[in-house]
Amino acid sequence: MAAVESSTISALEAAAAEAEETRSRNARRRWLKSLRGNRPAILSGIVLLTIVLLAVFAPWVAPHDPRFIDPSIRLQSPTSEHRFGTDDFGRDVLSRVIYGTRASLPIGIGVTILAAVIGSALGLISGYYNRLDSPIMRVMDGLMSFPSILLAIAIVAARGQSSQNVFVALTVVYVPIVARLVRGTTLVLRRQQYVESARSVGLRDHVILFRYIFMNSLSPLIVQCTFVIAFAIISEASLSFLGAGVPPETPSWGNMMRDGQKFIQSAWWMAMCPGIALFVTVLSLNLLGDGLRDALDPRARER
Amino acid sequence: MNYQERDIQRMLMAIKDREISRRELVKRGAAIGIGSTALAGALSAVGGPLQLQARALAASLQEDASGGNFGGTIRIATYSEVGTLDEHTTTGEITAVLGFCLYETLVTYDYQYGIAPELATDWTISEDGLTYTFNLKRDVFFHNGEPFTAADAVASLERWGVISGVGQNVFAATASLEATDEHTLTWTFTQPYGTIFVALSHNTQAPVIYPKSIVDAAGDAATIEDGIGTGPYQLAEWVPDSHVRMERFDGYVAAEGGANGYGGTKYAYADILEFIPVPDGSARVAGMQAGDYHHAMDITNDNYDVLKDYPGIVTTIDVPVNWPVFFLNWESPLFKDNLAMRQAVAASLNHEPMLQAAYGSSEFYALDPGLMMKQTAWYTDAGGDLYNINDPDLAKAKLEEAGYDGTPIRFMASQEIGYMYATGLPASQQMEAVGFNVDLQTPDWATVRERRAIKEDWDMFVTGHGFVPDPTQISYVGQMNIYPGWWNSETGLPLAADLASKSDFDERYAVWEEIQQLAYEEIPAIKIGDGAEISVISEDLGGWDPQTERGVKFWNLWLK
Amino acid sequence: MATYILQRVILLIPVMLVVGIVVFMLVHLVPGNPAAVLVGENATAEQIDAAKEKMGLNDPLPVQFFRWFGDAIRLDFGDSYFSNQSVTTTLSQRKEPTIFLTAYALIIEVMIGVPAGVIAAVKRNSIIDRTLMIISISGAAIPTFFMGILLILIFAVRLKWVPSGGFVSISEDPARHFKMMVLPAFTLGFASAGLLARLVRSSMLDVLNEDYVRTAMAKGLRFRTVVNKHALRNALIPAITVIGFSIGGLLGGAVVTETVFTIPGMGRLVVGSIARRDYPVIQGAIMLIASIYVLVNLFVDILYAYIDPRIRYGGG
Repeated sequence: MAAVESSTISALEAAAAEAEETRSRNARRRWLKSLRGNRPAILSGIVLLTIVLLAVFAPWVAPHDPRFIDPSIRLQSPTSEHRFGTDDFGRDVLSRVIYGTRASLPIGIGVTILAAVIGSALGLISGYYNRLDSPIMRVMDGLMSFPSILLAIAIVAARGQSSQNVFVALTVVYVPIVARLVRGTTLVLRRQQYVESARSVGLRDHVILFRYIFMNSLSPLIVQCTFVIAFAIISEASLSFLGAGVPPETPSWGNMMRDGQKFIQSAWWMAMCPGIALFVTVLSLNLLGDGLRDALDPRARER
Repeated sequence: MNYQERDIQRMLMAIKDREISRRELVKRGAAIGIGSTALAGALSAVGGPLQLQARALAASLQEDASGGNFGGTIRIATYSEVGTLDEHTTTGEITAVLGFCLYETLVTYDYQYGIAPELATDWTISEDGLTYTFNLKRDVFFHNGEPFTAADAVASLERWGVISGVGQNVFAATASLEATDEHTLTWTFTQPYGTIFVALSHNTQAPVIYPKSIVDAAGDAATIEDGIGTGPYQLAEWVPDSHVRMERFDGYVAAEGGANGYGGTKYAYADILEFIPVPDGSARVAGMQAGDYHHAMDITNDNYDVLKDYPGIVTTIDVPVNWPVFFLNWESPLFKDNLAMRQAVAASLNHEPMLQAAYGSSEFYALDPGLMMKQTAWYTDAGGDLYNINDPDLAKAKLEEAGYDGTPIRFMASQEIGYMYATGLPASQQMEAVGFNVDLQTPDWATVRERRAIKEDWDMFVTGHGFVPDPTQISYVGQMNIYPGWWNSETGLPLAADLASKSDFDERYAVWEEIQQLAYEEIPAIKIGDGAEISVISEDLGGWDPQTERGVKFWNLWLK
Repeated sequence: MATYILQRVILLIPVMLVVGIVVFMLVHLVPGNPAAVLVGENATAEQIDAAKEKMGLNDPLPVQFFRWFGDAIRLDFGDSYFSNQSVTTTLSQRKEPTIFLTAYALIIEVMIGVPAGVIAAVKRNSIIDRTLMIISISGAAIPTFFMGILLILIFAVRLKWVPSGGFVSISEDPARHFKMMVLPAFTLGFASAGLLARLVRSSMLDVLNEDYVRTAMAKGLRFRTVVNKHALRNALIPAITVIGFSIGGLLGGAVVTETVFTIPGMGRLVVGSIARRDYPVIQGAIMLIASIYVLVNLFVDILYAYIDPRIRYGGG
């Protein structure tokens, strides 16, 4: 090891990096080209971007304070003042749907990022170090043996109802999925020529793992992540229905649908408006994910 | 409905003046086109004291219509699983409702929430007021075939005296309880116990009579779940979360003299009663509409407009049975010995929006300071000038006087029970508007119950108080310094003791007025208002009794 | 084959141990005190302490765990705090509705998912393909409780074709049994059908691109014959794994579906037990559901290996 000269390493790195860059530039070009041809994916991207913008600019976009209570106008059907009607506390449903992006998106995205970070780390370690593979993967298998909703309600029930615990619960649910995926790609990549040579010249493991393996398993990971965001948003709604979601005064889409379903016959707008928002978001995430996957997989693209 | 209401009122006046016989009344009722179910609906629209007479009228009409049909299965959707059938152990409403069908008590409530005989036919009280002698009903059998005797009553009452809070109080004042012979019970107290009949007739955590053999077999800890009592129905099958099925008990002999509130004549018309737990509210509504149930408990008022004209369903607005109330923790550093702080909370609140959010439009709620409801003789508006003050400026001034430093107020409002969250959420915003810092916590109800018992864990919580016939049954009156909130009132405690031991109504009423006044001055808790709910039954159900404050009765109820 | 099965079974041991630890920890994460729940509201501190001692809550955590796990693998989860019945008895009363619901939902999932996936692949990039895929995704984009309520309103309230909920055993009244199960099974099955359809579509496309299929087509065999005889069978092999996985989703979805349709199954038992803090039942039910899932997937793995021998010798 000591015999390895630093110049060799840098030369190797430079070569690898160059190869990598050309590859990824080509890949990016291919991607974009393929994506451009996929109209549903483009449309979904635009819809999602709009939703993100709504979340960012909610205070400027929403016509009313989403938490302002006025029971004297409760359960009013849509009017020009309240375009999506009012709810059982007389709050403006449109404003709550808009602010709902601020509750539902961070849950979806936050859980996904957390699950992606933890899951990737576990997957990389598990795929790279033979000795650690089995213990880590058995734990992941164990966690995956619980139906996700069941594990999530049990965790929330045990730790108490709060946004934080919903976060923890959903993260625990999705970590194993990411870990499995990353482990799979790691197993393949670590036998690749450039990884072998990087190892032979004595590059540190964490450098190899991060620079050569993780960066190359990023694309399937991103695709998977769009699906995980969608699942997490849906799960938040189901948890709310079972009384184990984020605190009820938070205007999340799940909470609004849970409350609204009690009034589905007398005030349909209460559940339908957040329901449609959730539907459109999840649908878009899925279509975008499909589009990305097709773009990534050349074989799929040819179809 | 207005003209009907007027006609009913006229008819009521007529009975009062004994101008017409009951038979004629039925005829007149028929003439203005109302049967007993419609009458029940119409009557619930009649407010005030007439209502009680209206009930008697409804009951008498029912008795005349007692050609009810035998047979069939009545299916009832309950809002949760019953949990236990052991009445001694729980104040749970569903256990009580199912228990009325299975079990009986020595005495029970009549239409006016006076005392009606049940397993005790009559009784005498010694001159010193310390010894009660009960004569028990003869030829009564338990569902397991054993005859009912005084020994069963003694065994059951003693068990209740160990398990239930009310029972513990009663037995603390008891010198002896003996079966003098097979059909006589002698109960001797160490001091006058003015509220003994209230304790014995109350029908949640009720002193129901089980067979002695079963009480003995159960021993100390276990609950009694076989449902064996002397009631008109017997337990056939209980599959948790699926159903409790009861069958008519053929050994039941109905008392004579007509229905009388929760006592009197009871006919088990339906062959089978099936209680089905349906926890989801919209599923209960949908089930009623689909014709799956004959009655569904706890349908939120917002469904009234959808259901009132729905074919096959009869929907009526009940009299108020519940009042949401906020308890203030007298042991928390924020409120302990800090009257101004408690006054600040009271002054900051505007009760009407809370009641609107919880109960809907104004037909479903009433702003009323009385802790005892208008249906009872105990009603008073003492302290009413301190009710629903709604004065943010006063609240701010009091807050300053109290030296509030912005410590968050931990306010528990369970989201599981609709009106709790619906009153708690507007309240927390109103309090924040005057400068309180409110930490609104919305756990499930079981958690609230666990936590409220711990003095350090909370500052305020929302609960609801159901209708009670006697002021000692109000949680923070009867258990003044014991009930969570711990109203350690120097003035109040002796008054509460008086109220419990005296038996003369006028004396007690005077004491009660003082206590209610004190409750508004010292603020152990804040009553928000009275809320009414709707009753939803299917059209083919006959004999529905609008007296539902202490639970629905499923006897004297038939399928048309 | 026998070696392979043995290997898979041995792998179950650590997995079940992890499952056990998670289930055990769930209860020991609870801020409240199980003993306080058991003795009830009016108990004194001494009574709580006595109960703690009796329940063994004062022992070190690992001791408690192995005692509990030792009992659990013999299917002894103790008694319910609530009904005082043994948890095993409670679970055996409640498993029937959940098993039927999951099974019907699985049938619906396969009946919708496989044909939709095959048709979409065969008619790839057509309007039919796009429509089917959007419908598939939609199934997963509507929360099950909401779907359930909408179906009840349409089919039970408006049309009065089926009851709004409930459960009867198939032996008791088969006609009513099916009427009661059709909505919940559809609600549950539809969501997973979408995922299955997408998977079948993509593995079908893989197979249709394989050389032997192209050869068969080139030989002039009818397209339908090729699809039925060659492509479908091979495309369905990976689908089996997905179906195995989706059973977990169905069992989890049953929690929600049973609540909406008032079906007295294990899902509702868990939700109800959480509300009443009935820890032994929570543990028993989650443990049982996880075990069913693990065993089903074991079966699927073995089946998969039987159909596709490469698996037995492959890595990973």
